[in-house]
Amino acid sequence: MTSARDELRSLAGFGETFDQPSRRLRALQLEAARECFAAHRERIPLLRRRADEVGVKEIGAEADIVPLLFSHTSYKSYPLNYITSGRWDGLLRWYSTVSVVEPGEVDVTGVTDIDDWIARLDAAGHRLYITSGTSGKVSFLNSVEADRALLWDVMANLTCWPRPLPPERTRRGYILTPAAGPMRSIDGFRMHADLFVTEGALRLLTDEPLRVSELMRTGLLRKKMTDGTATPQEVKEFESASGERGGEMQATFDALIDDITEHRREPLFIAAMNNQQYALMQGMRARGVPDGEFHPDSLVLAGGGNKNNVLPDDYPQQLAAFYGDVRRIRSYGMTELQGSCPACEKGNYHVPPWVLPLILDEPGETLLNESEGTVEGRFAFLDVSLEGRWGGLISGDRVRVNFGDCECGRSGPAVLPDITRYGDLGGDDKITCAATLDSYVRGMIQA
Amino acid sequence: MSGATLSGTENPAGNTAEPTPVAHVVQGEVDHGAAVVHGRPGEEFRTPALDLDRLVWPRSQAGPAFDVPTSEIVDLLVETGLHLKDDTYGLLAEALEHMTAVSPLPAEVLERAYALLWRSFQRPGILAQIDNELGGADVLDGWREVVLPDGRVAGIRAFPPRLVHILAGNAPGVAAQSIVRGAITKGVNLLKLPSNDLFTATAVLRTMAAVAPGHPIVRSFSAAYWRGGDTAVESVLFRAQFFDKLVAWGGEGTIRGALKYIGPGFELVSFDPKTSISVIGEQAFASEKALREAAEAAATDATFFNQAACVASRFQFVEGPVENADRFAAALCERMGVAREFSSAGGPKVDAELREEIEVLRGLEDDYRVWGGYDGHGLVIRSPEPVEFHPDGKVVNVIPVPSLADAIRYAGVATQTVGVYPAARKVELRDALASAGVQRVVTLGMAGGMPPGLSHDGFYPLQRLMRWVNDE
Repeated sequence: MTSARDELRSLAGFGETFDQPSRRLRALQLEAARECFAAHRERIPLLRRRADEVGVKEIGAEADIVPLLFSHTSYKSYPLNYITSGRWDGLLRWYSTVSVVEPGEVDVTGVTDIDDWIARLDAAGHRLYITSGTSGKVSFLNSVEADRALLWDVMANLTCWPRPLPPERTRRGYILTPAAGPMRSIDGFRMHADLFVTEGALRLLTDEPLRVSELMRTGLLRKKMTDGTATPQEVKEFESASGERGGEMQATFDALIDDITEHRREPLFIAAMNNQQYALMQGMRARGVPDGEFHPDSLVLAGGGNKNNVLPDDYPQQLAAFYGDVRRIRSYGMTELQGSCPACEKGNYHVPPWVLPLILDEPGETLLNESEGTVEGRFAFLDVSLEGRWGGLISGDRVRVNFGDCECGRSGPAVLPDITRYGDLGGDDKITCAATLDSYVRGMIQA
Repeated sequence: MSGATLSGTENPAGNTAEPTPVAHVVQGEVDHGAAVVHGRPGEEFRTPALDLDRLVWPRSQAGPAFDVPTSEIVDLLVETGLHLKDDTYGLLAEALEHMTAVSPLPAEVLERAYALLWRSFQRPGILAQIDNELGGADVLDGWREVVLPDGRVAGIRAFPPRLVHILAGNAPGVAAQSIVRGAITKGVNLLKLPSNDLFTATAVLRTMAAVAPGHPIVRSFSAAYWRGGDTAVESVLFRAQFFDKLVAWGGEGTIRGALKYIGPGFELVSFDPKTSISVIGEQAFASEKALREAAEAAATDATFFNQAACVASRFQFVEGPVENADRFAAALCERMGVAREFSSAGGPKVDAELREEIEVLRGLEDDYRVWGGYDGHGLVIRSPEPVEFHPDGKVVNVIPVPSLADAIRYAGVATQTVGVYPAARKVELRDALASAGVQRVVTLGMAGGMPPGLSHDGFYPLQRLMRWVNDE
């Protein structure tokens, strides 16, 4: 008998992924949620403890999932001193409480640094994806081969949905992120390249992998600063090291811009984070490239949002105008959710069938889901496809979700445009004299 | 992965509840206008429109109370205190009713805090501030003679300032204390209300106005709400032409926002946002009685205003082996679920994000141990090092240290108060703590309620508020 989870996962592999009759879909999702909870509570101690505490033994209704949702916090809740003092077994023990990893299946003897530790997990079949927030602390999200297989299916069948791009290796490719590393966007770019780029025609900005220990320097320095143990020299070195890396990379980056400029009228594949896309556009503009000169079969991928607001507000419009009529992906998503919610012809973001959206009130306690109509609230979800970790997550986004039929003619649910982060709605102007230590670490190192 | 456009508009979904009415006080007169709606959906409140011209006192004229004798001001404050104690005009009761809607504190804590507001208006406390911080009222009322090294005689005066106060709302005493200080200065005072306490300052000012209608001190105060950081208001008002000093009570965002207006002639007096800790010596384990005493005192300090205040202890360092820390943690947790003058037995549920952090630690036994639950009755975490999150909402982190001296490295520039058990051990620690950045060393259990006339956040507030002028 096929499980409900398998049935939902299999929808990634055929053309009507986003056109499932909603009543049947929701019943199937609930069944999958049951399966998923039953499987994960055995393997993920944090989920088990939460379930015991709130008294949820099985999923009877969507509302039962709400108290079981995690937030981003869980995935970065490790004590930093496990890393600073090289307690890799401690870190593994932590990781095994938030994922399906069993401490016994990973050998951490002789681990040298966090990248090495991540490599050991990888060797044991656990692919770890990181996300970095403004706190400087990195989240660790576990996935397994089956999770990556789903991603591959999504990319092979649904890239540029609703007008999916045939997976033909016909493009000259450029990836501007590090060549490898535990980030879903990097894996995603590489998979896209394997599907859409001519063999041997892929150029990388750097062969260096992304090093998590480098990324974590910010968080570690922050800790030293709150501890009061960072020296002025360390702060200076931190700041100038960031500058130097930028310098070395610039020469390669310039060469890539020249190459892209030369081949811009051919079908290309260009994948980069938004800040690199913006820099790339500026570089090409400086070389006299006007808007809209790219081949319509070119695939341009961007990611990462506008971290730290370094880009102008209108960067999406600028990039859209510059690339003109190429193939791009418009979607709403996050690393925590498998695949993402691609935009239909009407600009609404369709939630993939393996993701059960759970719209909550602002505190994240009450389920607002309806069977029809539009609901506004905090976006949370259970991704029933996930094998490597519990897929129930509460986000910081305020969304409106249409549970009824979309204007595009497909059935819902779809997240409507105008997504806001609750954090961006502005503080509530509640002033207190009590502080966190963070107030005393000046903004400059909040990279 | 590609980012969706994250621009949005305010929540159009209307909330059916009527916005809470908020009064302003403008130069002593109450304004009940209801022109502007503020606040996030579900927490809306309605205030009068701001008349910016009426929120300043032109420099071309002396402030209303510049020449009022200090003794008269002290009398007025004391009289106001008596009427606050009895709530003669029912204004505190009215404020309290609305406060429960905007304050995160439980009603019973607010009630007890309101019932004790009058304490800030007691004569001995007021005189202690004047005497300890200024050396007496003579320098407020006239020119104090000082003999210079060359034998000449000069005069100095603590001249009334023009002040904008950015009030904090986590404890109602902040408003009371600001009004007392502002009155003693004889200066003009604009109080910016925080959204978590829109009522205490105006209730006190209105009580004072009822006690002495039209009194120059009454006319020297305004209290109004605008959204903190609203440039349409702040870039206009925060100018040397109108005010001498910005007096900010915490609120990192507010202080950072105000910094761009600070410049020649417009100074920042900041009660910085702070955090507090405790250190518990091995003497706490000499007997069961000592342990109970230490745990009770530590719980008192940790739960002050249900831990919403800067003086509330969050990290407690316990001398000796981990077994001591565990015994202490268990005793402490038990005492945190007890109602006190400024705390309730229960309290707000532990914030969801914090709860997740703690849940994970529960899974890392040996290194970590957790007592209590998330229901607001108190929770204690024992860890080998201070946790990286901010314990809040009646959550205390207990850390074993070989000796109290080893706890000093965890104190820093953000640490305001350090409670010490037993009191006798303050002497061996206080210099090192001060050197680390600590502002206040107290006997454990005494963190709440700073005595009037002592320094606050490393300075004498009254002295900082005055404008010191010479006649040489």
